[in-house]
Amino acid sequence: MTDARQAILNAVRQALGRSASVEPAPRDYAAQPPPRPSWREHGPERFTRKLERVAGSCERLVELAAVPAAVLRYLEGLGDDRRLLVAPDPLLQGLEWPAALQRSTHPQDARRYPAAVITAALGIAETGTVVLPSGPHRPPSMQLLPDHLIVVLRTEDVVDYVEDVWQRIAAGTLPRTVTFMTGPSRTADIAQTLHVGAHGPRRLHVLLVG
Amino acid sequence: MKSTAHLFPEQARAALTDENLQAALRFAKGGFIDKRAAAVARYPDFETLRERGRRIKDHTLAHLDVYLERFAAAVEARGGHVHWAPDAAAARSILLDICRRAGARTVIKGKTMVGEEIGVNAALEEAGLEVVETDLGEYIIQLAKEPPSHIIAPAVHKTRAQICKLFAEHHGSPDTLREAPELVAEARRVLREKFLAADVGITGGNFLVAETGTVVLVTNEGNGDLCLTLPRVHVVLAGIEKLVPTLDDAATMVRLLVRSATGQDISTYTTFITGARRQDEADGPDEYHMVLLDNGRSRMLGDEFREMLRCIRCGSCLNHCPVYNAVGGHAYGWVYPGPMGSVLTPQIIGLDATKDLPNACTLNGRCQEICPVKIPLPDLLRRLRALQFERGLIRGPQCWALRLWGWLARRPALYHGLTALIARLSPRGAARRLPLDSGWTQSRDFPLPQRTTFQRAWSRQAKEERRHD
Amino acid sequence: MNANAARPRIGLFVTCLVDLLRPGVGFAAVKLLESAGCIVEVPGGQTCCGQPAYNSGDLSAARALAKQTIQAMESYDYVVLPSGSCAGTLRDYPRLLAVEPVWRQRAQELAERTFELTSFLVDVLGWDAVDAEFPATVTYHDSCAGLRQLGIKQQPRRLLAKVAGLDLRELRETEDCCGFGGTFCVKYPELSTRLADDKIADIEQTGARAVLGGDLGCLLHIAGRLHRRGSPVKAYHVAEVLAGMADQGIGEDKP
Repeated sequence: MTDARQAILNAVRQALGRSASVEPAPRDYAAQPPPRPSWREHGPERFTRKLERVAGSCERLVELAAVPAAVLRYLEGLGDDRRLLVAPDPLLQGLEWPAALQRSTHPQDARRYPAAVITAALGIAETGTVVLPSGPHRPPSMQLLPDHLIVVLRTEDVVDYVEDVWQRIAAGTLPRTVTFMTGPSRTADIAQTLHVGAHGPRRLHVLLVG
Repeated sequence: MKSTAHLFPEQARAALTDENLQAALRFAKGGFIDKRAAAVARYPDFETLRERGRRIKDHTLAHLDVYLERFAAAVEARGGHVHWAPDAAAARSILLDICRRAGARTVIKGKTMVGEEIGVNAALEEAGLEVVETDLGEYIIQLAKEPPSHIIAPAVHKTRAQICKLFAEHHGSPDTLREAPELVAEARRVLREKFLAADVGITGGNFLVAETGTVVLVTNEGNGDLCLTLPRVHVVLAGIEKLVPTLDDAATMVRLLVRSATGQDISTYTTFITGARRQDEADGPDEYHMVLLDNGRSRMLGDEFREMLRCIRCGSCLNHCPVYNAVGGHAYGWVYPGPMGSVLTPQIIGLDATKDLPNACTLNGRCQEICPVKIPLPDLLRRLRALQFERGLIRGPQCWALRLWGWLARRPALYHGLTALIARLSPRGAARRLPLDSGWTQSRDFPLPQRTTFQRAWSRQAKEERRHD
Repeated sequence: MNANAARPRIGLFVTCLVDLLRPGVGFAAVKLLESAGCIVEVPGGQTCCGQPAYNSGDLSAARALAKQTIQAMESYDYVVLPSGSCAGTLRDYPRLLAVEPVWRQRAQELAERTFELTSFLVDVLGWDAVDAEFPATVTYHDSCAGLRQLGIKQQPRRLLAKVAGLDLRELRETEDCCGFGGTFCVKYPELSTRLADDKIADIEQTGARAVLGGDLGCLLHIAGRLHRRGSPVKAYHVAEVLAGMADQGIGEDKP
């Protein structure tokens, strides 16, 4: 294995015409930010508009305490199933949940439950994206397996651009995965027409709080 | 995958008369082009973004050794295993070894073109493993036992009717023409079971970030995320050219990639994977492996094809290529079709076995115009033609005709005398047949000379003018 | 001051296809350039720009023809060609001759003074005093090399707008290749023909009586296919229409 590593690195160095590593030149192109979209509306408004354009839905709430009722309303809109995964996140666990809900915090239940509620660490206004770092508070299987994913996002956590995410989640503290999720799962692999609900959530509903 | 690139002319001819294929291609063509055009038009300054993408990749390639070392060190520092594969065979044996050690029986895969390049499915199946593709397009062609025909839309050559038939055969579902949402739901159901049962998940990686050891994976279906969340082992397979220096650079590259590929502003899932599962995490794999593949890339880095290593596999050059749109991807005979494939395939499997690929191009230049990282594809194809010529790989009557023409054109007096004679002796109008012609008149009439050449008529006219003066 | 001093001396590179198969295009180019106030000469030392060799990988033949062309044309103020792809080849000479510094420099100087006909008239001379009549519905095929390498799109249209009676209807896919592609059209005739058929379907959809273009290669290919299909649509080089010299369509033996 180390031989192969050395063989490839040597071949690369030979192609570059040197025999040892040289410190890379500064990234001169990075002196300025890349051209990026701009907008006049507030970040959360842009976020909502962009999310809705990719078949996501968004509901504005004034405070966190309104989350459980909004979740219940969402489930009532689907039918009689009241099973709900609630991510093991102190923010969510600290809320008062209606007794009508049959809650679980187990990632194992993600295979069977129709809906999950999780928190987003950040939102991105540029693209209408929720940012979901993995960790004890946010097991990725909960955001992938249920048909319905409800994401709680605070308006103060909506940043403008993709790059801004890396100001808030520093390189040294990256978790195993950070997923940028923008709308429900989709595919165009059958006759090149767009359909939602390929493998991940069929619906993505964001509760934008604040 | 065994190459049939040497059969390009026959395969292209067959493709032109394949009604299903032609229906599917007609259906797809406009969509890709229009979506990209709309996304580019919406963007404030896509040209500057393209230039930045080009510079990011050129910078990275110029320091690839350092960035590879940094990337590998960062992956290892976060508990990942890094494997180096100089060629396809080495990559296959690394993967097989990982699966064996894990005692795996079922492997699920996200779409990876590098996986196709090294023929991973056949190798794992031969070793008795069940391999299941989970990208819907890849799944469809796996059922059909066909290779992908497009690098981002592997089943673009299949019509809905053909997909219904495949699903009926393999899932035991009704053999009728069903709507796409029903087919999507059926595939979701079948594949969900596979996801839950799999031991190993293999995915590709769109970008590898050197500063953090992060793999960026871009998908729309969410299958990639399931592959890297549910099985006990996750393996990323990527070429060494996928490096970028920083997470900010990756943001620029993702912006270019999704707009060029599907006309989206961002893919539904853009996942940044940094190392193995942390101790406090409830789910995620127990083992994380990174396989870095060379397979000819370091050689390209040192020769006149280095620019091809900027390629981010968006597929836009396929969508804008008249030849690709006429014959589809299978005619090209190997993993990478269209303009990017016609440059890449000869680099990986050799010039001899791919003689037609650099020539099956009209040099119309549209691919270069839309390439998100400004690869001069027509020039690279011309360079391949020059290599073929140098090595005597171009033969046949057309070659001799061309050489004769070149010889004659370098002797202007002889040339003008001979062309004037031909013009004078030739019948007028258009010919249905020409002597020694092997290509033109089988489907086109040939417009004939009009009694004189321009040069002859011009010098006559000049003589007359002198007389009148 | 000599009246001729302000008149640019043009070396017309007529192109091998025009020379052999469609001499009228050369005369039309001369007429247009003279109307625009140029002195036109046609050096006899020219034959082919070397494009077929260049695109087929025969670089030594391509370099020899490039040098021959440079020698024949470099004494003029400008080199003008009734072809985007041949003009594009002359513009590529510096790259083709990159390893020979002296020739590279001469090639560079020539390339900077080399123009396709309609782009020369419009972009360099700012001329559009077309005096011609062509009472018909026509459509226009943008040849790829002219369009992408030289940015020729509006120039022929601006000139055609001055032609009396001419009604230009655009193709649906103005940027699609017609499938000519130089040697491509004889190496892969079925593919080439398929692309021609797509183009012809588009042409017929416009209801045009004639298709115009700026490159004889594409036009021979399109005309040859139209003729084989028995289509009534005729093909002309744009210069012929602009000079009022479009009678017999390409490949026709009767007016």
